[in-house]
Amino acid sequence: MPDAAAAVEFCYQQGWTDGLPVVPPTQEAIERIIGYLGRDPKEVVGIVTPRNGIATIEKIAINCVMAGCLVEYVPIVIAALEAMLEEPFNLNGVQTTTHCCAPLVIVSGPAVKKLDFNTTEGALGHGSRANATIGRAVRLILWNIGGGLPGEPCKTTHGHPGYYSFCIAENQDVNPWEPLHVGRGFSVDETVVTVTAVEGPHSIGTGAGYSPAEDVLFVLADAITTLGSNNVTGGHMILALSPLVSQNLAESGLSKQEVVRELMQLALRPVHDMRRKRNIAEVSPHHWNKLADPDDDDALVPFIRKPENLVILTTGGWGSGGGFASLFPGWGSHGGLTQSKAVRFPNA
Amino acid sequence: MRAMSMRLFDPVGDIALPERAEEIVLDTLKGKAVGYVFNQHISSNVFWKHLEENVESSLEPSGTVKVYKPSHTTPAAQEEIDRVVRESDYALVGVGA
Repeated sequence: MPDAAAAVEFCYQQGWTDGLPVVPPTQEAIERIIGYLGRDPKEVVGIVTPRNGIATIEKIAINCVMAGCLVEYVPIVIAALEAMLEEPFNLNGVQTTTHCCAPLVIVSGPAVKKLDFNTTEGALGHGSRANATIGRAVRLILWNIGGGLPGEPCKTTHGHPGYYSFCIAENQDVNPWEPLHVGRGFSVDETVVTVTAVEGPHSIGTGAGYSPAEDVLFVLADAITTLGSNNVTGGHMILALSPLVSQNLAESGLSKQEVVRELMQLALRPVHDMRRKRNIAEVSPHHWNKLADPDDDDALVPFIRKPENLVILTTGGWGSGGGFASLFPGWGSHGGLTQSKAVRFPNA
Repeated sequence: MRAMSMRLFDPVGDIALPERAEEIVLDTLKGKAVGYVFNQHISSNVFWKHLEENVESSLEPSGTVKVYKPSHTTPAAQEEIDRVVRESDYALVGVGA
């Protein structure tokens, strides 16, 4: 390539990007990552569906260069990929479903501060190289190695902006509870990547600056019980609470586990509403009629079937007294189920 | 600014091919019956129609047995699956979602 602009255009021509420009993957940049990792470039991390592309350390490094990652970000990308390759995640389905789910990467642990993730205002959006380029590298791996191209084979009806980049991090400085990864069985000094395939974030103004915890929980539950959600079939969802919401709930004496239990009791919808949702067969093992009497109009159907189906973290700005939270509904019982992997930094 | 030259590296991974030993190549289905189990998902209807037409014109099976599920979330009845197993030599199971 004669110059950088021509190299960027060449990447477009090769179909190596999904619409956004990429950093040209040069030998020097790739070798810098492989040198940092200290791993064999031919080492296979896994097979990425639906294309069955072989994700070697070298190919991952190339995609990380294209995304603009610093070398220190790459172990996080690798951990995210390892998590997505776990069977309950059903990556093949996530990449090809008509639903609009995309893998959300959540980082928790010491590296959040060290690598300067944005965990305050705009935590789910713009403003941080770590969030933006790690999410971007995951997408480019799914694109280039996994072949997740829209139309064929990716059938997502609308997709969502998180298909370009979708990475957030937990803010332990303002989290009143144990870190996300500790609740998932890891030690506090580990950095852990957690992935779930989810829709884009749905903003919830909980009123946490003015309301008692019981009303905050009621509003959160109301947002969860929308009939259009795939979580009517079960499956996982992510709830990102702003520090104000977490503080409100914690100061009322609730642990995170108790918040989940309260929401399980409140996130219910009556059978007479549920009947209007017809796109899952009554004989399906995941149909709500396995949980409530379908002949009783007033029987209540739970949207959170098990405690582990609701993953809660604290991140974002303090905001106003409106007390914002963001709900990420999942793909339902089909997959995209939450998986976590510890990040293996070299020389750690 | 001096002239530069840049060599780029391919980000596309090689494809993991299935073990050859697992593949069975059928040149013909003459004298054999073929079964179809299809979920009728809207994304696959056109493909499935062409697939059946091609199987029947190029492989010439002696007979067919078809089970079309009412929807992609509806399991096929056990007796229908049993019928496919009983009445066909090879079966194509198709999904889309």
